[in-house]
Amino acid sequence: MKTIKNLKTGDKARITSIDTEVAGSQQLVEMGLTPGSEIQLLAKYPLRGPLLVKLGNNRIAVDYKLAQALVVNEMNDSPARDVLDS
Amino acid sequence: MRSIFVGNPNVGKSALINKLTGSKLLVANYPGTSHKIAYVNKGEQCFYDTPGIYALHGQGGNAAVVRDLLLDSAGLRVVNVVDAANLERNLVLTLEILALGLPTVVVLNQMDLAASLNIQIDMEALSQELECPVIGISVADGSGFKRLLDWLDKPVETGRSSVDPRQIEKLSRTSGSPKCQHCTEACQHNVITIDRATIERARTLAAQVIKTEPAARHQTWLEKVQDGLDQPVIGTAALLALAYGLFTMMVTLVNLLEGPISEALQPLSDILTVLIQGLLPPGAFNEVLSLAIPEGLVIPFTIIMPAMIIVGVFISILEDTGLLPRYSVALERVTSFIGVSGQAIIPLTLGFGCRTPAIMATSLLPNAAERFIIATLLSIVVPCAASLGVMAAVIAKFNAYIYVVAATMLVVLLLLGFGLSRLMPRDESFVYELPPLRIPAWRTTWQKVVSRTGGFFTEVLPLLLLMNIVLRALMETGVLESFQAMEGFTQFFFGIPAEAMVAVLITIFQRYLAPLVLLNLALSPREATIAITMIALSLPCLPVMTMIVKEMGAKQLLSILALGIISSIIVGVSLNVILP
Ligand SMILES: Nc1nc2c(ncn2[C@@H]2O[C@H](COP(=O)(O)OP(=O)(O)OP(=O)(O)O)[C@@H](O)[C@H]2O)c(=O)[nH]1
Ligand SMILES: [Mg+2]
Repeated sequence: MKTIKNLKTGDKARITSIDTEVAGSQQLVEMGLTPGSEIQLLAKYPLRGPLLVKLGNNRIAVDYKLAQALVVNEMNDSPARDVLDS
Repeated sequence: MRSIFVGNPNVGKSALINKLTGSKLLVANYPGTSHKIAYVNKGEQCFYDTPGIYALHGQGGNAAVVRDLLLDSAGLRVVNVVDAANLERNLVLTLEILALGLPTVVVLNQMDLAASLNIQIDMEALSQELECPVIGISVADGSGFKRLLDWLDKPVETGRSSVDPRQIEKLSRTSGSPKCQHCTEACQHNVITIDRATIERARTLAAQVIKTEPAARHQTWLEKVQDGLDQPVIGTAALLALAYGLFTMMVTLVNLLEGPISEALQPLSDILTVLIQGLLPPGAFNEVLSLAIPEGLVIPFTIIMPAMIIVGVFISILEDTGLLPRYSVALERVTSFIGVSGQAIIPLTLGFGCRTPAIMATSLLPNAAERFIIATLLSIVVPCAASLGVMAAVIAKFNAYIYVVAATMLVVLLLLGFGLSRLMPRDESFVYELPPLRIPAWRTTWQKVVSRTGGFFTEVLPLLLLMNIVLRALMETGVLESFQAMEGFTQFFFGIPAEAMVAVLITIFQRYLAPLVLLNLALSPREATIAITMIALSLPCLPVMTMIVKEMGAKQLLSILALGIISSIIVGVSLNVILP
């Protein structure tokens, strides 16, 4: 199972589900991080710091523990990345 | 006629009401600025400002507060303020509100921002789909207000005049704190949730009415700065450099301004002295007052007023640009060490202005334990602008070690926070939305500076004058000298003379006045450093105490006071041992 923690900075992904076992995950849904929405990982702060996620025109910071709740599917539609990958 | 303004955090609800009525609700560029219901009357109309919420059927106290207000729905209309640049997420709340059946207008605010992001919204289509009026406005440039005013002036005819009974049942069922039958406190077992279908509908609606996507578009310079600041390493370094720069600038400016201001006020103070000497019959009374009144009037202007204005300007700019909440992400590791979530940076920073509103701002923290920790740190450690001014003056006069003072305060902040958070173990989580960086509307920013410095005339000046008279009287009558007996004791434990200890004791009455006693003494840099640090880390001032009792209760205040006294003593003794 892939969470946003497994993404690299700049990666785009689609949220597939929210792990409701993680405390505080309900708040993520309220802020629009719902299954089906597209996000981009903007930054990962060091030392298990927060992750910064772009959702539409929003920037949402999520702490390291809570990030575990955001299960995603990576999207490979950016051509630049494909080139990098190959 | 009552209109309630409801919307996501930071969309501009308070700014809109200010624009409509000329009121002075607090507006700032971070989510969670308003934390209570406020109402403003204008003619026949009553406008309710509410704390921003993401969902009506959401968890958390703010959603409950708004639900309660909607329950009392007789003659109520809803103005749903929506961020035009973030339609999809905002529409979830819009759909929840429309389901209530109250007369509602959907106001798309920040149309200027949406336009700059190349987002175009088909408002007619949206209005048809939602079956309610949709008005696009911008509080920033004033566009669209005519239509909104027309709607607000129209008597209510459309829609039901009160909430659908089934919806009332749903609202009241979910009102109050979320908890299940098995738990006595808020829990995760039986949570209030947004309908899955509502989320889906918002998504399709947004896709349907947004005409142009922000496709290939040149980034503005502001967005480039924002991207840079939201980088973990570069961004954090830049933010810390900025904070350091502002701090040094404040200290330098306060010291630079002191001389010229006191020179400029000298003639006035001379006239006052002569006047009082002439008017009062000669004697001790005359001597005390002719010395204390001019001095008590001049000192606030020379060292406190400049600090209050400078810090007020800095904080207002940090707030209105959206830089302030960025510190909460950059410093999340630090706040997590002291057991609070990242947002805590906001009240802590506001405390450098004045700690009374900072205590109020602790309500953007998720739970009571975090609020207590931050209120304690604000009370004991964080120096307000007035204290900063006095401290800077005392440090400059005695050449005290400014870095020792600053470092000690930082260490105490970390240790105290760490200790308290271990005493109150709990699951903390941090989710926070970063606002876009904005160029502040300078007029409103300046108004904020003015209202921030208002306390100078109503509080600082009169209190300082009074305290100065009392102090002078004590000095003249020789009461202070009687403390000499304590000299051995204070020198042994704290390494400071007895009179300096008196200054420390005065903090009990009014913290930022205490260092003034020091100004009249002859102290070595070492003694001054210890005394000023002990004063800096002690008790909050009276208005802060009152606010803590109001927001948290008397018991909490007592704990904070005890902690303050203990930390002041420990700091004095430790510095006496450590410093060469
Ligand atoms: N560019 C632009 N900025 C706006 C507009 N309206 C409000 N703002 C800014 O948005 C920020 C938030 O405004 P507030 O009025 O505090 O928002 P709020 O909805 O009351 O926020 P909370 O009280 O936190 O829920 C401020 O910095 C405003 O200056 C607008 O139309 N255009
Ligand atoms: Mg507000």
